[in-house]
Parts: sequence; structure tokens; C-alpha cells
Amino acid sequence: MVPFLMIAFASAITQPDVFDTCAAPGIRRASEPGAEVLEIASRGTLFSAYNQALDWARGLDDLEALVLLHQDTEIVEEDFCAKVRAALADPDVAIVGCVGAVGVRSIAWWESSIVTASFVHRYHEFGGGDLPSMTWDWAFAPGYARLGEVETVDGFLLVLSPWALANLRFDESLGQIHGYDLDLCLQARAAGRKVVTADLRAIHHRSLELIRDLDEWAQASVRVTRKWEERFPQIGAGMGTWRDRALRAEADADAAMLFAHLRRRRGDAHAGAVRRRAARVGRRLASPRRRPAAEQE
Amino acid sequence: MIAFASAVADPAAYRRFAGPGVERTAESDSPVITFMDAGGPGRTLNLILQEAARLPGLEALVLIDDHTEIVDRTFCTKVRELFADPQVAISGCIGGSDFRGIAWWTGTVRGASIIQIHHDSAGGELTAFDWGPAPDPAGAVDAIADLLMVLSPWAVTNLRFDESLPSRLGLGIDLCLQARAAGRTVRTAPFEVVSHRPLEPLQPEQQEEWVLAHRAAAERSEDAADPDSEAWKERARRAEARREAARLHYYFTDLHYDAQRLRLLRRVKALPLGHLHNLARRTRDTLRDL
Repeated sequence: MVPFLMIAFASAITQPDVFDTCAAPGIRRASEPGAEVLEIASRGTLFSAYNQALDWARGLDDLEALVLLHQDTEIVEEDFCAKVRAALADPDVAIVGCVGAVGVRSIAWWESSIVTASFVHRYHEFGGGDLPSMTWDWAFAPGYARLGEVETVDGFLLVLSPWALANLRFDESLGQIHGYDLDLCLQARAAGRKVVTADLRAIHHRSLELIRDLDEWAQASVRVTRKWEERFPQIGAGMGTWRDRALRAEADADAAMLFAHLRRRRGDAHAGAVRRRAARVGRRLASPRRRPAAEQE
Repeated sequence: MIAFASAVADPAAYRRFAGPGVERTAESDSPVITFMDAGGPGRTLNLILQEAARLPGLEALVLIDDHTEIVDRTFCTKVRELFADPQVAISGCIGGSDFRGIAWWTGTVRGASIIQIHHDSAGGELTAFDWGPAPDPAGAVDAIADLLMVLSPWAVTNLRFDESLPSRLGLGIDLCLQARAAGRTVRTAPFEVVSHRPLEPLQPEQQEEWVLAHRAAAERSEDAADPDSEAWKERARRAEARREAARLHYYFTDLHYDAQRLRLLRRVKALPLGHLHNLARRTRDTLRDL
């Protein structure tokens, strides 16, 4: 008798309506009949919610993979499970994602060399819009784009192999929400396993305001760097003395914050100017028609 | 006598903004010194200091940026009150203490809230330096913003702008640090001015220049011994993390801006311009027939 094999799905939910409109339709599209789905009502950190998902998945029989996805991630790939199986055909593969990078030095993996990014950032502000990423449509992908082994994948869509389920944990000492993806990938690589990308296309429905608390993000980044800098010398690497690096980074950070403010200022000013003009036109249209003076007499 | 001076980088802006403010504010015996760029902003400002140092009976020298307009009827009175304290070397509208590099707004900010009228992007009015916190009342600071600097006779005689600095950015801050190193004080005062700088006083292509100036200022004030110490390592780790967060913030702010513009374009494209044109023509014809 052929054993029943299954790919399960889990998501940590803080906003049920977001899950219902984003993740749920994608899971229905991607999952096979009989697939288990865990909806975790998340009250703690994302790290702890995902550990709950790992504990749950370990109790499932004949599990081929666990898909962890954010509540605002919508899988659009019809043959998602087939692609997951193909990616996990190599027994050394522990983690699969749809966005991956190499040359990674911190949890800011996008500041390294991205090789796969098969997603669309769909925002809903300002009437909404789509920002397709590098390999959303392979017909337009640059020459350096490829699928395969990477150093980290983005955590909005993670596929974990049975080995990863049995051997990895999300490190809850690192923070609330940031850096869990790189940390998990480093854990897998430290154990000699591989992290790969596959063409698992997804839509990430998210706001244009990415990070609410920049300090919390920075603290998580420092914690992940401290944890791994000895085991992976590339993590936290940089040129120059520590003094050089500190002064350069402080200057860069202050500049980025200043220029971000100026950019926002320009956007607000444009919006204000348009509103003023629209109001002026409205007033003119609403005002009594002016007639030549001679006719008014 | 109170002298007024400007290192004119943008003659049109000086004629339109700084010049009229000086004309309104200057007293009958106030000399006005202006020089065009003399091979670098530090050098031009030093030329002004040399010229001012020769003026007999100088009470104060007001260095004014091209785009700054003084709108304070009691400006000269305030200057005299300020320099009644001989310890005060430099004054200005707004400044900060305990900051990094040239980013004076990252520390404690003191001084007046300044109006900025921008003439680009359809024009508008906002608060200058709104990327920093709202200022505390005027008082002693480490350095002031260089849109307006008022120097005491001591400062005119004893201080010079550092011509070796890589950019005009940070020149004023360096001068303030020189004054404080000599035991003098730097204070903000409630001078009323309007800044006519563009909406984005720094353009994105100036970011590298800004970073260089920031770093040059930090290099001077930071301990250079043991540059690979654990303390520096800790600071570098935090700073690099903060930099990545700040870049992310910048990236999303940029996306936000693009999305705003995209919505506007969509709305303009959706306007029934053909209908409006017909309506305008019919209205014109109707009016003509009346």
C-alpha cells in the first residue's frame, strides 16, 4: 500500500480578515485534497507562533513538507505542491522559499545579491498597485536570476522539509518578528543542509509602510549578527576598522532618515498642491457666472 | 555697528530673499558685505571675516544664507541684548546639542520654529527642519544651523572657517565647535526669519556629499585611539543595523511617494477631458449669445 503523503500549511494570524482574503484563497488553490491546515491565532511573537506550527506538524503522519506563510501571503502557483516536491527531491534541502539571496551579511538580505524573487508586492494604499519582483515573470528576469541554492530566503513563504521540522526551531530570544528567516536558514546551513529557491509564485499583500518600529528591527539585526558572526564570518562582515565602520554607518543612517523625510515631504506637498487646485476649480465652478458689466446694468 | 554679510552662491536668491531682508533690518550705519564664491565656501566666508575684522566699532556680524529672509523688526535689539554677555560668541535661530556629525537635529534642539516657504512644487509653506523634534526654547547649544549666524567681535577676530572641510555642509557647525573649544558659548535666540529653501533643500544626489561632511565632523570629535576596540565594535554593530533599517525606511518612503504619484496620474487619465472641453465650448458659446 502506498503511504498517504501530505504537504501541510500553517499561518500565524493576528488579523483574521487579512488571512481570509489573502492566505486562505492561496492555500485553497495550492493545497491537495486532505491537506492539513493550521490557523494559529497569534498572540505572542511570530517566532513562538511558528514554533507552535512546528510542534503541530511533528505530530502529523507522513508529512512531506510544512508550508509556513504570512497571513498576507497569497500563493498563486497552481502546481505549488509539485514544485515543492521537486525542490525537496534533494534530501539535503531543508528550506525552500520563493525569494532568495547570496552574499548575505545581515537580516537585511535585500542588501546582498538577490537571485530569485518570484513575488508581487501588492499594496492597497492610493488606489492600490502591484510591484512585481525580479523573477515574477521569467521572460523579463535579468541574466543573474536563477533558482537553486541560496544563503537565505524571505520568511513570508517558507517550505520546511521533514528534516527541518525535526531539527530546527525558531529562536524566540531574537525578538518579536524580524530576522527569524535568516536565523532559521543559518541553523540549517550550520547543520550542513541546503536552502534553495523554487518558482513558487506568491502575492505579498502588504502596506507601503514596511516597518513600524525601526529600533526593534535594528535590535533584532544586532542579535542575529552576534549569534552567527563566529560560525559564519560573512555575517556582519565589512571593510575597515570598527571605528571606520561605526562612523560610516552612523552617517549613512542619518542621511537615509533625512532623505526619506525630504521625499515624504515632497509627496505631501504635491498632494497638498493638487488638493488646493481642485478646491480652486471647485469654487470657480460653484461661483455665480460672471457677466459683462454692461449687461448687468 | 552691526554688519551684514553673505557668501553669495545664488545671486538671484540673494536678490529675492536675503537682500530685501537685510535692507529692512540693517541700520543706517550697517555695512553690507557680499562676495561671490572665492574658490570654496570656507574661503569665501573667511574673506568676509577678514573684511569684517577691519570694521571699527563692530558690534556683531550677521552671516546670512542667500535663501534666508530676516523678518524681525527687533532683530538688531535682540542681537545687542545677546552680545551683552561677552561669553557669547555665536548665535543663530535654531541649533542642537549632543548630536552626531553634522546632524544637529538628532540631539536636543533649541531655538525658534522657522517657517520655510518653498517656491518649487507649486509652492507652499511648512516648518523648516521638521525632520527634527520641535525645538525647546532658545538657549545654549553646541552648534547652530547655518541659515543665519550672528558672530560676536571676538568670533570675527579669532575664528576662521575650516577651508579643508570637504563641503559647505558642516562649516558652521565646525565654527561653533571651535568657539566652544575656546571656552565661549553658542546660543540660539528667537530671531524671526523665513527660509526660502526648496522643498527638498538637499537633493538625493547630494547624499554622498552629506555623508562625507557628516563623517568628517564625526572624525574630529571622536576618539581615534584603538579603532578596533570592543566598544567600537559594539557601536559599529548597532550603527550598521540602524543604517539598514534607515535604508529600508527610505526605500518604503520612496515607494509611498511613487504610489501617490501613480494615483494622481491615474486620476488625471480618468478625467473626462473630452466632456470638459465640450462643456467649456458650450459655456463659452452660451455666454457669447447672452
